[in-house]
Amino acid sequence: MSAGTAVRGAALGAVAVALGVLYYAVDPARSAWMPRCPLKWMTGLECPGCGSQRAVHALLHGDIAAAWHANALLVALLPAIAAGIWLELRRESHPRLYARVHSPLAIIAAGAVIAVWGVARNL
Amino acid sequence: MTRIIIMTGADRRRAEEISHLFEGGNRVEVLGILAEGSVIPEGTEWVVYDNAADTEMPEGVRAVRLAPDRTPPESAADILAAIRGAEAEADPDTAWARTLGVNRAERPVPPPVPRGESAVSGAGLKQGEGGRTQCGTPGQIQGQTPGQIPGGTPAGEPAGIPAVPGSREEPMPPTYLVWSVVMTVLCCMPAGVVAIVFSSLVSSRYYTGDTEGSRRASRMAEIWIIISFVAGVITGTLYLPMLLAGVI
Repeated sequence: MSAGTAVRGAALGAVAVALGVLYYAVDPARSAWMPRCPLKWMTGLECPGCGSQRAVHALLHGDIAAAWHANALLVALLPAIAAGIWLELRRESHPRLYARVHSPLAIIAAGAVIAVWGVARNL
Repeated sequence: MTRIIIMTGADRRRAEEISHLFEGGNRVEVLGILAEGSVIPEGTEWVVYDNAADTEMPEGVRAVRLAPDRTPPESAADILAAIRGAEAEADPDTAWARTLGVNRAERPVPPPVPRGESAVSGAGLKQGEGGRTQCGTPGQIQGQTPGQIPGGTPAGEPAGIPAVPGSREEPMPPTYLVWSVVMTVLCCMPAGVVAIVFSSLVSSRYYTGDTEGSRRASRMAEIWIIISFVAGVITGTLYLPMLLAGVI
């Protein structure tokens, strides 16, 4: 691993840890500091990511039920995201597996799941 | 050998003179002299009109009209020049091949290039890309041989990093799909959606063999993920101050 990659990894890790601490300590539902989704604020509609802050807060406190209630898609996607990051880190050594998993169909399916969720949660 | 038909009107004499001009030559074979309106026989490449009305050409047959003022044409070279001129206009490749003495029809067609492979130096491209990827680095790739891949390569998964440039399939550029999805759900939906669209372009272009387009889409996906992150940070930081200032 070169210095550049290490620095990048360390920076990403630091940001992730800082956000983790922040969202553990602060309850987005009660704090005025936490931004509300502009879409929800303006239209009242929930976007696919609405509730993610509350969901992360709940997850960090081990409350999966509350997280599911806040944003079910985020909770449902967690295993897939974890697997995706695992594969992302092995892109160089497993290029064929990477290319197969990242087929056009898979990416369109991922986009479709998010879109359907965004529509369905507002019905 | 260009096979021609001379199509003539009522006066056959001039057509016969033209035909004689080619006798003994090795560049033009006169298949025959036909009256105007006749059916063009198979194997004809060119129809030379001599004072005849235009006839509908079968597919693959081309036509050239001789200047009516020359009676009779001075030489076969004149007619040949007319044919070659029309030929160059219609099909420059074949004309060039003839000029260079190459038989274009018999030239072997190279086998189709397998998808994903590229004649461009694989190592060089990946070196340029390595600086931008999450987990790859220029130094790491350059000095690598298949045996030295960190973490090894499982038996079922052939190593895809080319030891010799172009010797293997070019790996897919990073699609950043995971980060696009994370950004869409966690951070800033509009920019995240744009990133997902570019992720899908990376993949679809890669599978259609457009590796350069795929790399461009990969770069755009990365840029939009950064835009999404920055937008999220700005929104998060300025939310309360703007709220207090009454802006929103």
